[in-house]
Amino acid sequence: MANFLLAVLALLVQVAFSLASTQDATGLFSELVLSNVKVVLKATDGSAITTLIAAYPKPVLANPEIPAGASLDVSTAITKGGEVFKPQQVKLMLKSKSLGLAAYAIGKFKSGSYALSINAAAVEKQIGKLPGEYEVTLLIGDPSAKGIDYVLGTVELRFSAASTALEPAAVVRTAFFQPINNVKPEIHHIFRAPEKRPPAVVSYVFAGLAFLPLIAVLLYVPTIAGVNFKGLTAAPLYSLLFHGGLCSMLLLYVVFWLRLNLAQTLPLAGIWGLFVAGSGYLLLSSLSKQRLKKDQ
Amino acid sequence: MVLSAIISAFSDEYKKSPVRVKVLDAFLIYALATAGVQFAYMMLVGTFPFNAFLAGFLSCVGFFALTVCLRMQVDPANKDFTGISPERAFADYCLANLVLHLVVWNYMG
Repeated sequence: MANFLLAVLALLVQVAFSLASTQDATGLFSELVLSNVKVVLKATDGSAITTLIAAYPKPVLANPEIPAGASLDVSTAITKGGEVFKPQQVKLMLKSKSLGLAAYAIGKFKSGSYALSINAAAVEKQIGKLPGEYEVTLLIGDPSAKGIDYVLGTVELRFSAASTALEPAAVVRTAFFQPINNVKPEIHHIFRAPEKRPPAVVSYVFAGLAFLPLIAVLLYVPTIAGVNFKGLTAAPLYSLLFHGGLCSMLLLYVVFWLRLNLAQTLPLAGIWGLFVAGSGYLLLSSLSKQRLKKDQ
Repeated sequence: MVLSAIISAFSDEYKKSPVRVKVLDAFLIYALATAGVQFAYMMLVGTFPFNAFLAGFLSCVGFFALTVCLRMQVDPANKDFTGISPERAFADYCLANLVLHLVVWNYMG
C-alpha cells in the first residue's frame, strides 16, 4: 500500500517538473521585435534628405548616394515579450561590396529607442578610404533571444576628396574580413625513417650458425673419456626433482619471454626457485656425503 | 718445429686433467664460439637492435665467466679453493646462471 502511494507521488512530481520545464523552455529563447524602424539620410547641416520607414524583414534602401559629409541614421525600438528590451549588441554594419571589408556603428539607447549613425569619416577611420557600394545591415544580438540580422539595402558611399586616409590594404583584418592568402604552409610531420635491416636470409643463416656450437658440444661431450651419468643413479629421486625443477625454471623463462612481464615472472621465479634450491640442496648434500664416504 | 712440440706437450698434459675440467672446457669453447658468431653478425649488419645484441653477447660472456669460476673451484689442482666443496661451487654456479639468464631474457625484449 505504501509502495503504491509512493509511486503515485513520484508520478505527480514528475508531471509537475515536466510542466515547469516546458514553460521554462518557451521563455528561454524568445523573439525580439523591432518596431518604428526609421532610416534617415542626413545632410552635412543635419537636415533630412530622405526619410524611409522600414519594416523587418523588408529592405528599404535602394542604393542612394551618400555625399561626402552626409550620414546614415537608423533608429529603432526593440521589445521582447511586450516590454522594452536592451539587447547586448545593437550595431549597424556597412560591408563593402568590392572588398568585403566592414565598418560598424554602435547603437545608443535614448528614451526607449536605439539610434545608430554612420558616415564616411567613421568608415574611413575603421577600414580606410574605400568609396563604392556598401551593404547596410542592422545587427541585434542577445544571449536570451534569437538574433536579428536585418539587411536594410545598399548605399553608395562617397568620401571627401580632402581626406588623406589610405586605401585599405588588401590584407586588412576586420571582424568580418579574414584573408586566407597569408596562411603559412602546413607542416607535415616527418616520421622517423625505420632502421635499415638486413635481408631475412642473412639473419636466419646466422641464427643457424649460432646453434652450431651447441650441437657440437652436445655431440662432443659424451665422447670425452670418463663421462658418465652415475651421478643420476646415486640419488635418483632428488636428482629427478632437481633437474625437473631446473627445466621448469627455464620453461618459465621461455613463457616470460613470450607472454609475461617481469612483474609477473619474478614472484613465480622466486617461489619456484625456493623449490629448486631445496631439491638441489638435498641432491648435492647426498652426493657430497657419498663422495666423502668414498674418499675415506 | 718448436710449435708442434709445444702443442703435443700441452695435449699430453691436458689429457691428464680430470673429466669435469674437460667437460667445462668444452662448454667454455661453446660459449666463445656462440659469442663469436653473434659478434660477426653484428659487424656485418650493424648494431640495430642494440639491446638484443648486448643481451645475446653478454649472455655468452657471462656464461663463460661463470663457467671459468666453476672450473677454478672444481679443479683439484687449484689449491686456492680447498675450502669450497665442488657441490657448493656447482650450486652457486646454478643460481648465478639462473639469475644471468633471467636478466638476459628480460633485456632481450
